[in-house]
Amino acid sequence: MVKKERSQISLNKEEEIKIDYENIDVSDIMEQIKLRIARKPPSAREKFPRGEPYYEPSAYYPDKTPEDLGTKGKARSLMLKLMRPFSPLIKLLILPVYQEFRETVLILDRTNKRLDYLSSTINEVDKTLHLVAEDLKKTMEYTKLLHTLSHNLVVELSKLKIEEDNLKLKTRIMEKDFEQLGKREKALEKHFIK
Amino acid sequence: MKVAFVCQRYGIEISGGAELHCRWIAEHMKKYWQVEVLTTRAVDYITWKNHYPEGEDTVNGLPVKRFSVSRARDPLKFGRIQKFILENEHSEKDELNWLDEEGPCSAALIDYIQGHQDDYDYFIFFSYRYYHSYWGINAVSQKSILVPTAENDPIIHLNIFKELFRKPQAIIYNSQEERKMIQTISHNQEVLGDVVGVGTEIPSQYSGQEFREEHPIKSDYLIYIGRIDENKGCHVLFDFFLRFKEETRSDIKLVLVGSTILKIPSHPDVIFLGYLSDEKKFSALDGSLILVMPSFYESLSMVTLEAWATEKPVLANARCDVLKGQCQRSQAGLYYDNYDEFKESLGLLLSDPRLRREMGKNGRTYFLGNYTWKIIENKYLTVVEQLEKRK
Repeated sequence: MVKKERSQISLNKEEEIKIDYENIDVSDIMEQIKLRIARKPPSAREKFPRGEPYYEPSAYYPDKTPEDLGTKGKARSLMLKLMRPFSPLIKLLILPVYQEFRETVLILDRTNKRLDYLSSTINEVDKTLHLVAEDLKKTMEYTKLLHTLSHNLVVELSKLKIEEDNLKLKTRIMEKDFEQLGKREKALEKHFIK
Repeated sequence: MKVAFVCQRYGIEISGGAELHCRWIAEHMKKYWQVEVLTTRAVDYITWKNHYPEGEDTVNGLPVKRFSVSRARDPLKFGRIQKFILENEHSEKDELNWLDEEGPCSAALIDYIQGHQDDYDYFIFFSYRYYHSYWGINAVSQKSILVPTAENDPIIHLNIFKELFRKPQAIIYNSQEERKMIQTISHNQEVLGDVVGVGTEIPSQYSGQEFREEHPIKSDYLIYIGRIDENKGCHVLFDFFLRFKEETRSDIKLVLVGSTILKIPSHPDVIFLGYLSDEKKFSALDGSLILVMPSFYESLSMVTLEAWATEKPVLANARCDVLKGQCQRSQAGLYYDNYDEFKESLGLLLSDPRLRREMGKNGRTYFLGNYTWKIIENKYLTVVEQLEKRK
């Protein structure tokens, strides 16, 4: 009895195609491939077509919309919304303002310097990229020309090869004809000598 | 028994599917019958211009009689007529007018067949869609056998062909799909028929390793062998392959072998080798991982059989019923209907050497079970024996 080995191979980690190597069934493999294509997750926009409400999943309430949160949740959400305009005032009352202001100015200064440096670097990179792009464009044009050249060469070589075969064939036919004529000549010679 | 093989073109340098098919069958059947080939003087299948000398010739030991083509085909005129009959209501006269343009128009060939029908026991006609088969079968229907080499294209639905498929004494099909298609169109179930196809000549020596050394192709590659043409689905193949490369960052290459009438995309991983000799073609096939067959219309696909003969799996276009059916029967190939399926199927084959190996073995078994010359020859002999018994 043939021991059937049911093996599995994996194309992508998330999906598997089951293949019975001892008894390959192409239709079955193709069915699995078709199912796999059909099961591929469409993007979020495809999942929720235009016109239907789409909510980003909440970190605290995964997979739940505000309508699903219940009365307590709704009240909390409402309170947070109402308090939002007063949050700077609350921070001002809690933190030492001067210290906060000084640190912010320092951060801004450092950021400004970094931005200056980055800006000059970007200018340099931009110039280099521009040069590289020009070189690349030239190389691409050159490659295209080379490709066309090699393509035409291969076509011409193919034609020559076919032509060579034809000529060889014709030569063979002519050799046979020549041989035949030789025989005929000898036969005629014999005939006339007699 | 004297049998005439009737074909639109015939010669060593003619490598078109049906013509090569005819030559190989004729050369193999000469062991059993007194074989003669009746054909035209044409070489070029676009214009059918007279090329060979008229009269008797010998090709690989077989006597060949060539007849003149009375007028060359004008491709533009033919295109206009074909467009008209495919897109408009038309009469039988329009279809016959199309057939005259389709050619190769050789009244001399038909006159010879009609005048010398008593000299032959059977006439085997190749390719249903040409002038010689239509008028030849009408002239000697009682002695005719047809090898249609039909593809699922709109031409087969013309009314003149519905009648034609009911006239020969026997039909030798290339595939089960072809038989089903013709029987559905013409309801010719009463006509004796068998699915036979054709064998293939495998060179005694070929080596994938030598091919890789000769052409510095370092990474793995897919191979396409055949005419590089839109009708063969090559433009779709290029599109799918380049998208596959872009999305998967795979280092696989695509090697193309054959003459081209299509601009090949400029990409370092698309390698065009042009025409190769049989030995080099088999070496290229041997060095590849997979044969890709993107054609929409095939009657058999000899290249697919050659791939299976050399234990290579195939990735085929599912829109071609014949290729899909062959893959399912052989269990030696996957098929795709769109880009997603192409990507998944190719990804699966590339990622799984064992699957490729097992499919290759299945292909070889299928080839040996159905397409060796002994099997093909016996099937032809059986068809003729059955016709003889009916007499």
